[in-house]
Amino acid sequence: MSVSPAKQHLTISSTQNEPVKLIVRNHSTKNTTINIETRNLDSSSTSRVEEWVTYSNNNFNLNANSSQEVMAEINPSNSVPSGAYSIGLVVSASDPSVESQNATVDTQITSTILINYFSNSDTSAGIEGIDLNTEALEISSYKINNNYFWPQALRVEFNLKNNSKFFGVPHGLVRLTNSKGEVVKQAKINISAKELMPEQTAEYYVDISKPFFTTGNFNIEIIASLQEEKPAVMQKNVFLFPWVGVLILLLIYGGFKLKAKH
Amino acid sequence: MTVFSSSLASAVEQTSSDNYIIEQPSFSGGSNTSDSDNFSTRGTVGDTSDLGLESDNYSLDATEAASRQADVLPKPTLENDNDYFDRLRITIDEQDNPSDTKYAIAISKDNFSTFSYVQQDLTIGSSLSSEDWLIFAELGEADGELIIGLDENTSYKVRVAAFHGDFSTTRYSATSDEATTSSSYLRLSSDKESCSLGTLTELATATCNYNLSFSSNYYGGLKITTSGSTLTSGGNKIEAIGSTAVASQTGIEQFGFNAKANSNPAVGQEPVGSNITINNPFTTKDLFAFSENIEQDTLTTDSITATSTSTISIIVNAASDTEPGSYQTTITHTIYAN
Repeated sequence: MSVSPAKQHLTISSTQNEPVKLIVRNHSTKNTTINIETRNLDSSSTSRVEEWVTYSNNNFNLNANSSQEVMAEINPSNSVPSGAYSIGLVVSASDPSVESQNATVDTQITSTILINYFSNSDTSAGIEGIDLNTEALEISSYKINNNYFWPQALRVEFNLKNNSKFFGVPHGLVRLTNSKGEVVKQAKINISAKELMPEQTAEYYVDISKPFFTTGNFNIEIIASLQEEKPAVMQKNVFLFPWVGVLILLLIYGGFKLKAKH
Repeated sequence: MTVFSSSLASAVEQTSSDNYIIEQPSFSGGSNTSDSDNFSTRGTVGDTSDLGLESDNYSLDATEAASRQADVLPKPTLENDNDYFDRLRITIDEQDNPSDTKYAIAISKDNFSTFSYVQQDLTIGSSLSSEDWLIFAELGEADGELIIGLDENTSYKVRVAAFHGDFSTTRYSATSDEATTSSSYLRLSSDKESCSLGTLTELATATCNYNLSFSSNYYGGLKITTSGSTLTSGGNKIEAIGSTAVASQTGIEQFGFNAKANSNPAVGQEPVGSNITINNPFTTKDLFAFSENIEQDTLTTDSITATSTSTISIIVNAASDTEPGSYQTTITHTIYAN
């Protein structure tokens, strides 16, 4: 059995009813009964946000090797403050013809709905409540592997912190520029679709593959943003010294010396 | 009115008017277009055409090339090379363009009835700013680069324009072939619906195992949890081991599991797949645990997970004073996208 999508992101206000779609596939060769229920995935929330979900169909038969589309609707409650909430649509299959003997094995699949919710009664927040210009995302703990050797990748490590009160999907890039400001290499932050929860800090790294074969000063620039917000930027000047390059220079020198002897 | 006079009898040497002279204007291709499968050319006299040309794979600018004009690129490659659900890989052929030539990428879901632009951070935006023009190195060179933030299960096409120097932007390339993002998915199944432990005695450890098969194309990987209660028979039960893993011991009540290849007792296998982490307390060979009515993190991955397998091994020991009966329980495994 499988479900699609694995996760969904919604941005809604208390005056909206937002539809969500789920596709359930039965990959087995047996017909089965599908049951869908909701679960509050936000353990810190005292609000029963799982009650926001209503289904078109949450108990149905699904034939072997077939799929079924399930429509649901998110009806948020205005009594909940603005913020990030997560609800699981938990899909389970049951075969009533099977009788357990000692241990019955059940499998469930949870499709996660991540909701950035803006309450109309909450005047302290809302879209305007996010400072788009600063501090939504913070870059820190910058580090590189200075002793890299060509053609090993140059690894840039850093932390990203979500300073907002909403879910964010960070994305961005790390670029290596020379003294003229020209981009020598660039690699994207390969983290898209992994959310940062509010106030969460996570470690990330980017490998700049086969960076170059030159010793000297370069700028490393990290540009990262949360979805549609303006990016946070960190720029560092580094002196890079690929030791394979040094080795080759020594070999060339040795060659000249040998020639001089003859 | 400007009137040109020219001599085309043999070799054209000069085209002139009262105010201007074109020295030795070229004349090629006749006055009609010429097409093959891959290229098109238009007959030109001097610099006159107001239309660009396009074949399946190549485009040609309308006028003669400026001194620093970039080559119009062949149609770019757009592909979904790793079951991606929100990104596609674009690869361009830079031709003979210098390394500081910049490229703009237009992307469309409806065959360019409407379109957007790839931004500096490789997401999609409605406008194209100067910083969104990227050089070959920023587009991953021959390996290509991933355009991100796309819709699931949606087909896209791209075109690429180039410029080198001022006032020399090329027309867009021919349109790429269509590439389609996947749907994101989570998949979990068990090869058994029930797991028989046979007869329980205080003299031997009863075991059973089953295989969980799982996969997901979610980039953050997945998590599988285990929950349920211990074995019960009416009002009687076998004690669960708890959250601290211990070795199997006959003669005392124990109900637990792990996800390893064990030798004492001989049951289970190592997980099959990459980037799989078995979480504590289920990660040590020959040590077992089980916490009742708590969702226990059992296994995680941290990236796209191709179809993988983990073997769950259950062990049960009975004591001499364990009440006779038919003991049953239900173990539930739940999968989440990380």
